[in-house]
Amino acid sequence: MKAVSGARRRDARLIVLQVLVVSLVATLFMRLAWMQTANGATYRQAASTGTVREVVVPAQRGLILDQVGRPLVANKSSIVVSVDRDVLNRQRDGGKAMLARLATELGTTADALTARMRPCGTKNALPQPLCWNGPATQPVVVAENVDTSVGLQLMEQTDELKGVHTQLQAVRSYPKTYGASLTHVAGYLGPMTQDEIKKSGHDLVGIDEQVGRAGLEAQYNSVLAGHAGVQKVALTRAGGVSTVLSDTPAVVGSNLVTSIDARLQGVVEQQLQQAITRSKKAGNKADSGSIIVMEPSTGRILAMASWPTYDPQIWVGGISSHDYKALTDPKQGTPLLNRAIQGLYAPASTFKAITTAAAVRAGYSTSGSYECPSTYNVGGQIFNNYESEAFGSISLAKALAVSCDTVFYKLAHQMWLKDGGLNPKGEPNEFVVNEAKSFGLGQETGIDLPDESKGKVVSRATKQTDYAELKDVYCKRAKDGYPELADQERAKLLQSYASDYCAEGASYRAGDALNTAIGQGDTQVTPLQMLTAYSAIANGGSLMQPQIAKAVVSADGTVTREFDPVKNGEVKASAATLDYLRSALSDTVVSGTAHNAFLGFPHSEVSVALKTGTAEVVGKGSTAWIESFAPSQNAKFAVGCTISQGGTGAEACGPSVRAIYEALFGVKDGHASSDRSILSGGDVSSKIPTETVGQN
Amino acid sequence: MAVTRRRHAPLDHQSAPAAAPQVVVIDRRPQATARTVALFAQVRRSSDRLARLDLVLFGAALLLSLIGALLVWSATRGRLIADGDDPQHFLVKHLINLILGLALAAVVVKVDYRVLRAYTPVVYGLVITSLLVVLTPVGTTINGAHAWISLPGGFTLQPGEFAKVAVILSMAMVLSERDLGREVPDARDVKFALAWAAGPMALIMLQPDLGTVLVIGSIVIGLLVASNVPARWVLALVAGVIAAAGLAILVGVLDQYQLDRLLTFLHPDTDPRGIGYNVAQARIAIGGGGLFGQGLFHGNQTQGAFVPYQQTDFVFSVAGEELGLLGAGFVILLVGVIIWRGMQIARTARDSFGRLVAIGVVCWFAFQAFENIGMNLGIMPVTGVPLPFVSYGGTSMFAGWVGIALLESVHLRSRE
Repeated sequence: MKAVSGARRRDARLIVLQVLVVSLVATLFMRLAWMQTANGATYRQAASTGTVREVVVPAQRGLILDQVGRPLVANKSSIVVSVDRDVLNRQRDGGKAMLARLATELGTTADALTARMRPCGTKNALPQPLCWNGPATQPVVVAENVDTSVGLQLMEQTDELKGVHTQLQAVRSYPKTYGASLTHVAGYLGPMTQDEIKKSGHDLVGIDEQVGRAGLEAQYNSVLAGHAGVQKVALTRAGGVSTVLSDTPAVVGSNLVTSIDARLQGVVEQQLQQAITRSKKAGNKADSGSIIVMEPSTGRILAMASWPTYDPQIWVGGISSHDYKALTDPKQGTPLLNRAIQGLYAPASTFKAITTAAAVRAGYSTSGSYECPSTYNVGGQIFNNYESEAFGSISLAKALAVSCDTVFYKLAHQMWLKDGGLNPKGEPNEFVVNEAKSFGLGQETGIDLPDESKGKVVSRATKQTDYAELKDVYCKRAKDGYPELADQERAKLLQSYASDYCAEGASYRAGDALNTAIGQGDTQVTPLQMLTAYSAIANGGSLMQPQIAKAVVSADGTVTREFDPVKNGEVKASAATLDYLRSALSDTVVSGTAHNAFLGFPHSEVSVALKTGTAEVVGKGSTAWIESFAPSQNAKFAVGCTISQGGTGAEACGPSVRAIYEALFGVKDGHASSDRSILSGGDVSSKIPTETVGQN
Repeated sequence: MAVTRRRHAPLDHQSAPAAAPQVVVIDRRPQATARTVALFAQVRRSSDRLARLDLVLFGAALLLSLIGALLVWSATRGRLIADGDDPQHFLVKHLINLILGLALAAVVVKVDYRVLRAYTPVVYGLVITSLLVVLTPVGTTINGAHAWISLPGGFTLQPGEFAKVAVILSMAMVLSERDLGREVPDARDVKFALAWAAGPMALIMLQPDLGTVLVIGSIVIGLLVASNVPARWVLALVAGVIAAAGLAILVGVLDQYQLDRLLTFLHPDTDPRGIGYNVAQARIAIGGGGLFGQGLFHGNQTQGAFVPYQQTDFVFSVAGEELGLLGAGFVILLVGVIIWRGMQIARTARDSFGRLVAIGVVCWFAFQAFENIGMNLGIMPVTGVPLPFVSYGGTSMFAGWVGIALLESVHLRSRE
């Protein structure tokens, strides 16, 4: 009995076990079937996201060409080394050994490489151009412009350096055709920021996706950049590509044809450097400057240079923090700034052409004669004749040519009094201020370059709005002084300024009017604004919008867009006044302030209309100016030169401006010849080049 | 029966030499004939025995081993090519392991399992010794467990695999001791049996190899259930184990990585780049297989080497991705066949020891296969146990075939 029940129980137990075991097997099978059929789609989706990666193939950027198709900014191949962080993290030591090895090959330290891999904005990340701001899934660029021999060595060590990609990539190159580097105008490239990546719509950006950050590169980024290609590839876990699933090829960016002439640009850059050197030799600080050449009839820029300058090559491959500091350091003159459009200076005597036009409009006769004493007295305050000696009674034209301050003081004072002086009744005429505005001062010229400065022209109205804004601060300072300053004397001086401003900062005083008339005081202009104004004198009154881009030519040579000249307005001065100015200004080089600088120049063949300027700056050296155009009638070229703390305009800028005209008109041995001109045919090319040409 | 057999035997032996003197000329021939006959008899006996083997069981295990070879090949081929190594390296080694496993099995089958019972303490002693050796600096750490002994020639041995056999034999020995007297093992026997199991389990826990401990635990419980001890004892034991496990987690006996693995199983999507990576990639592979699979050597996940440890712990994901529901289902089916045949063998065993050995092996295979495939399918925590016969790994293969050999040995001496 017992045995039977025991055997039965034994069997029962076996059945229990069997049921358990069979249910385990059944569970597995049901789970498998569910995963592979009912739920399969979900996993297949996951499979494709896990193994497929979108690789962005950067499009080659278009070139920046000069007016006849010579490359100013081109491309070259560079070896770029990037590191896949996924692969690195999967290694046992977190990739330490591999990074150390890579660092040795690249001649740097593992720490430096790790630093470059930190995403922007995280702890210990490098400053903006150097930190990594690409997506986390993309390999991080750790070195560019790698030496070919080093690159080849890296490519041979794919086993030891897993996750390290060594690739050829197009980067910017600067051929310096005819010595033209066009640094400030061309601008530079920098990596996209996270915000820009978000805005661009595609979240996957190729390694080292660069965008224009300044100059033409920024202004015409969409033209130059082209469209990046997207390659969908199936990846192996080690990061290798197993198959290419789809391939949208990259579209090469279009070329930008500019009105810059490489040969002329080369000469201008050289002449600017010489002007600086010359000025320094004469004992001036000469801390910055610019020279611009423009076509007055169209506003096209033929050359534009700014000093201090730098080698644009330093941007290629990511600028080092040391270099970036140097570019933005005010002690080194902030070489990053384009003085031609961003430098603000008092226009000095170059402004007198505008004052003359205003005076004529106010009713002063061009045939009258005006006293040029050595000083001018306004209510006991003495205003000196800075640039010239006393000339006695002279014409307005002569006053311009010899740059007699006192003539313009008197005109300005009288006009100021006519407007009601300190207490104007009704709407004041403000001839000078309005004339200046009509010549484009105090507003952007609209040149196709980013971050242009506006400058300012001070009128009664702007004085009042400024005062309303600043009154509280200055009046408080007038009361409390500047206790935070250690320098007692300076603190006192500042306090007296503050109390003056607090008391009568809103009023447009006679001194303001006088200073404005000779281009001193609060008026601030950019070199480009001034040249645009002189171009208007040259072309008969049209305020042209300065323009660098001439056309967009696609990679296959089709002209896809042409930039026509744009007229921003008309100056207030009449045609007769402008004609008077042109002939008056053409005397400067013959018998005026630039007489010495243009000795031996073939004036009979090429008549240059020119105005010098020497702006007084409180506590600093004076700003040297020349604004000019030639021929004085039907001008083909306008040349402007500005040297900050450069001494007199004639001495600092004169020889350089002359050299540029000689190059433009082919002057040699006292004779001009269009055959010898630096521009082929002696003129601006009217054709749009559809292919690039080399230096010839 | 025994008497008849004895009577016949001498006759057989006498008849052959009696014929010899008749033919003098060719006097070597009768001798030759006698030898031939003897040889034939031997062959017939062994072929009889071969025929009496459970061929379905044997076939299922062999088929699993061969499918395993293909899957291991597919999982390792791409990686080996990428590293510039012989793409057949793991395939060849897997096949060599299979041949060695079959040879070991042939030896074990030849020994009567009842003889083996007498040697159980020896086997047990060897296993305990090697488990101790593993814990010394001689042992090698792979994937966080100090579970291997490195042998010359690049071979490694994992004594934990054989500990399963030792536990089955020793527990079966103790629990079947009183089979003829009282029917049910008493409390002392159970304690004694548990003590036998506790030794290897403790040593393996020190490595630590949670997966193997769990497999042995399932063997312990299976044997207790099968040996007719009161159900409440079994339930008390299970409750005790659960309590101990809870305590172990609280006290911190388990390493962080083991806890992480357990957590990952519950929430595989929390950390797809870290701990959850294995699980997530294996699931993607299996889910991507569909009904018919992507084809051998053509699985995206497998060929892209996305699943770590794919030739060992995650070999089932290769089947899932490349062979689909049909292929992977067939693997589960073969496991089921082995378990079914094992149960049959337990049921028809000649004695209690044989029955318990068979049950032990069945519980071993069943739980280990469930744990391994379950973690591939994301329903079990990742504990790093191989899939018997299929996963790459020498010791696992040898132990698996010893298990089959034990079943066959019980089968050969069964009641029927």
